[in-house]
Amino acid sequence: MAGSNVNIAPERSEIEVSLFGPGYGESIVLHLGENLWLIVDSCLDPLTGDPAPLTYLHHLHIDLATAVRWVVATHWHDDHIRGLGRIMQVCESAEFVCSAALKHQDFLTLVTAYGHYSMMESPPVQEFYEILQALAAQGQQRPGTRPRPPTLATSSRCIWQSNMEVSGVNYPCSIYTLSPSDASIVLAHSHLATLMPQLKTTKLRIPALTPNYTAVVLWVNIGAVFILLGSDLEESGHPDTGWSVILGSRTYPPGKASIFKVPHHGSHTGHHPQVWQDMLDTAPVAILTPFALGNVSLPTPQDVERICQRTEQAYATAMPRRRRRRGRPQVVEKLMRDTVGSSIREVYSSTGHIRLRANLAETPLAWRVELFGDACPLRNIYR
Amino acid sequence: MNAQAWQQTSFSEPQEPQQNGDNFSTHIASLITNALLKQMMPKAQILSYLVPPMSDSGSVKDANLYNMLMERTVSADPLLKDSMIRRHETNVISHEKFKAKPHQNIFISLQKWEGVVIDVMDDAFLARLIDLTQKGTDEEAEFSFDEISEEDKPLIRSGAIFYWNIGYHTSYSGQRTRTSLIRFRRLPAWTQREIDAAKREAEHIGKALGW
Repeated sequence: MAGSNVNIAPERSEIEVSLFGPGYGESIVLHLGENLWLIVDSCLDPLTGDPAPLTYLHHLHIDLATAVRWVVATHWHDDHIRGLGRIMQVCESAEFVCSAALKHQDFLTLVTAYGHYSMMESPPVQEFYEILQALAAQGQQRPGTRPRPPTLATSSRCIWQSNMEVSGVNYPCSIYTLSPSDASIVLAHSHLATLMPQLKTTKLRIPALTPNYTAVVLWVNIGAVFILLGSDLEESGHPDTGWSVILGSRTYPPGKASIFKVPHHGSHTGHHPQVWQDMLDTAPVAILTPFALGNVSLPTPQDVERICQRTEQAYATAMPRRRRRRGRPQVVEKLMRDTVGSSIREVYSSTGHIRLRANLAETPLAWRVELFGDACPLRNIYR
Repeated sequence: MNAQAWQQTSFSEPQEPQQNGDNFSTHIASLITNALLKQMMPKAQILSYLVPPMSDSGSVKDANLYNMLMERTVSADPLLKDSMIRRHETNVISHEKFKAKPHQNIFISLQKWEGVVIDVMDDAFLARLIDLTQKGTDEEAEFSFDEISEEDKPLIRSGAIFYWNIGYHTSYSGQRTRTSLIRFRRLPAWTQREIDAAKREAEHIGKALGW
């Protein structure tokens, strides 16, 4: 990215959607205009180990303490949450938004037990433990003031609504959370109960919650612009969970999104054909991050084909295949081969940044697509 | 006559005393001295039997035998005494050396990872690896169960933590080999105290957040 215009901040009248994906993990930075920023999830820069959104905003010379108004944790999977604790520390005035499914005594106990008493590193819970502790401490540090509890995301909840004046024109703006549904919250609670530490059982690192019932989908509206950020929400066909609930509910501002963060790394498990018909423009800009774990590699060639059939403007932050390995002394390399064959590979072998910008003052509004690092058109990732 | 034959011959004599205390030492000392005087054994062979008793481990019996032999060999061969003294000194020195730098079972690590089991298959498991030697991005690898020791195999399960070490192993005998070691971490079980403490802290955080 060095030498490019990546470090030029958007105009106050420009909307920006930036998607970062180090091959495993993702984060979104959204500029609503007028120096109002939203960070969704976090992933670490593989080179520096710093949260990618912080590094980017720092290079744009954005005042993180005042300009970032919301930090959203869509769910607590390892690939969406690393570095979120640090983001909350730096973005002092940011409101923390998380799934309503997490407001539960079991979740707090789980986070405290694994974040503090498990005697092992457990990144997702430790990030949450740090965030909740910091939020709780805010209230204690200033006696007489109420702590700022996390804003809880549920189906069709407006977390912000305002009129934003850009170049003398007023634009109605809002941010809605479209999930999790009530039924998903109940399912998540029963799942949480199964993860609680049990007496005399061996301490193990906590597994990821699957299927993902608690993911927070965001619907952002700035004037006539709509943006749908699909998180990792999955669709099981059950009418009370996943995308089916969102499609059945019409309590959020009507409109069709021109930007779509494709859910769950383009996997068919996050796909609902009606989303493309009812919630998106005829040719939206679709963006996604790939995912790779063991033999699982997302999106699959079939996923790419399906998405590219629906829009010509589809982009991925990186290649899903990872074969790159770190160079090590010959004796180490030989013993590595003897032990695990050729199966060892870097998880974050490829990383990139997709940036979409559009100026509210321009008519008609057109999105400018910029690709940095390993980001590329989706149709190219298997070529 | 070799030492073995001499030992067998000498100790099979009918007048062999009971192996108790000073009588035994005297008898052995006589046999060795006579063998020496009659040149039945080379000096070096005799000397190999005369290991000076160590102050911290030698028994009274050994001390008596040694002293007796020392006394008798003086008259037999003054040069032998000198060489015995030198040998004694050598022995002490070498023993001290041994104490200072004993052969050890040493492992020199060249590369170390912390692994977390992500998925367990029929005959292998997938793990996320965090490089503990050099900071960098995480890695993944598939390990066959054959690479895991029998005592660690029951510990293979999703979420289990292990350490993978590659390096040089030096055995007690001083032999050096290239080695890949995988050792699962034995984490303690959850205790009631920890669970209760976590619940109390969770309640505290919940109250502070207004939940």
